[in-house]
Amino acid sequence: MIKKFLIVTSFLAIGTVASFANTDEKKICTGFGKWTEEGEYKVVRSKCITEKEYEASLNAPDYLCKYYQKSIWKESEREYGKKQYQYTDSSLNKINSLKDEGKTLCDAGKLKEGEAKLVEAIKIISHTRMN
Amino acid sequence: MPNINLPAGFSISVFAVVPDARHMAVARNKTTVWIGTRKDKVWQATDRDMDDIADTVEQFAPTVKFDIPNGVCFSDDGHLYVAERNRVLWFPAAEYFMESPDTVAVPIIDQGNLIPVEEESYNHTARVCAVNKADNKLYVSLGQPHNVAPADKLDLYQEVGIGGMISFNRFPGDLDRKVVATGIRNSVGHAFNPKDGSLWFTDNQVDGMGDETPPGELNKMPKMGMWYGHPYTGGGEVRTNEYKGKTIPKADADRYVKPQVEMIAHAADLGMMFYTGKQFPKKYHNAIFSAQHGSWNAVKPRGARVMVTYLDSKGNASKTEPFADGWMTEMGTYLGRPVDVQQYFDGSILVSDDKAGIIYRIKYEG
Repeated sequence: MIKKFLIVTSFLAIGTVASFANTDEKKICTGFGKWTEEGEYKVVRSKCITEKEYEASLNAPDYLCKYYQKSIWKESEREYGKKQYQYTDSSLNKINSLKDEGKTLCDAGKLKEGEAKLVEAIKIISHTRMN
Repeated sequence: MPNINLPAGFSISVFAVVPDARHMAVARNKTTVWIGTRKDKVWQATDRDMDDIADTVEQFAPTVKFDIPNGVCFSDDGHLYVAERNRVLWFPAAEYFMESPDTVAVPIIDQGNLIPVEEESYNHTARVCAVNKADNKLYVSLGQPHNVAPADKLDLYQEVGIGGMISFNRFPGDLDRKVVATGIRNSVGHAFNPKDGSLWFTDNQVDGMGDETPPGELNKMPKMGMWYGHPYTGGGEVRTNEYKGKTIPKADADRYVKPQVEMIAHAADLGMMFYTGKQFPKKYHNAIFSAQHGSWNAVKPRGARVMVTYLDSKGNASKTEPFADGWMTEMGTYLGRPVDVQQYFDGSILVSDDKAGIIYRIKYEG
C-alpha cells in the first residue's frame, strides 16, 4: 500500500516539475516574416522571451512606466503624423514634455507620479486620431 | 498553406486568392463571393465549375471609384450593398450584372453623407453592413475615429451614430435613418441571430492601457437603442484613463449592456456570422463564428484565429473557444490574419485573410 502511494506521489511530483519546467521554457516571440518568390516562408526577424519573463514583466512595479512610454509613438513627431492624426504643434510639444517629465520621474523611482504624467500624454494622443 | 488546427473531421483549403481580402458577401444563386477591401476595390470570386475553388477572381464594378469599400452584404432578395468610408452603394441584381463592365450602382447614402466629412479618418473606417429581416433595413456600423472619443465630440457622435450603428431604408427614397446603438468604439463585424432576431456585434477596444487589458468584446443588442460603454469604458467594464472618475450620464447608464463575451485583450475581433447550415455537427448549429485579426502592437502576439461561441437556450453566450488557429508561427510571425467568416452555399464556411490575400474554405466531412 505504502509502495503504491510512493509510486503515485512520485509520478505526480515528476509531472508537476515537468509542467512547471515546460511553462518556464515556453517562448513568446514577436517577429516579422514573408513569403519568398520560391514559396518559402522566411522569418526576417524575431525576438523571444520566456513565458516566465513575460509574466514577470507584467507584474514588475515599473511595468506601466515602461508600457506607457512605449505607447507614445515616435510617429506623432513626424509630418504625416501631424496630418493624419490632426496634431497641432502645441499638442505635440505638450505630449513630448509630459513624456520627458514622466520618464524622469519613472527613472527616479517615482513610479506613480511618472505614470500619471505619461497617462496625461496618452490622453492627448487618444483624443487625436492616432489609434 | 499554413498548418491550421481544426476540430476532428474538419479540413481547410484555399477557395480563392484575393488581394487585401476583407469582409465577404455570398451570393444567393451563384457560387460567387464578393469581397471588400480597405483600399479601392471590390472583388468577386466565382467557382464556375463547382469544384469548390474559385475559377475567376475579378474586379467588381470596375467603373466605380470606391473609397475603403470594406463592408459588403447581400440581401435574400438579391441586392448587393457596399458600405464605404463615407458612402453606401446599392447594386441591384448584382448576381445578374456582375459580369458586366458597367454595373448599375445607386447611392443609398451619397458620398459625404454617411458621416460629416471632417470626421473622416483612416483608422476605424472599415464599415460593415447587414440586412435586418425584421424591418428590411440596412444596418451599418460607424467606428469612431479616435482611440478614445473626446468629450466635445460626444453629442455629435450620438446624433450621427458615430461610435455606434445606424439603420436606414435600403432602397432609394425616404432614408429613415436611425441611430440604433451608441457607446461602441469600433465594431467591424455584426450579424442578426436568425433564431430571435437579436443583433450581435464585435467591438475593438482601447489601446494604451496595457498588454493584457482591456478585453475585446462580443455584444448582443436585445432591443434597439442600447449603449455599450465607450468612451467611459475601454473594453468590458474597465474604465478608460481618459474618463476615469467621470460620472456616466444617466441616459447612457440606463441603456448600458455589458458584453456577452469578453475576449482576450488586443486580439482585434472582427467579422462574425451565425451558422445556419447543416454540414457542421449539431453543436455548431446557430453558433457564432468570429475572426480574430490579431494584435498590431502587443508584446505577446495573439489572435489570428477563428473563434466559436455557443449560445444557450435563452440565446445568450454560454461558451467561447478557438475553432481554427495556426496562422501564427512559434516565432511570433503572422502567416495570415483572419478578417471575416461567412457561410458558403453548401454549409462550409469561408474565412478571409487580408495578410495572405486568401479566402479559405473550411468544410466538415466527419
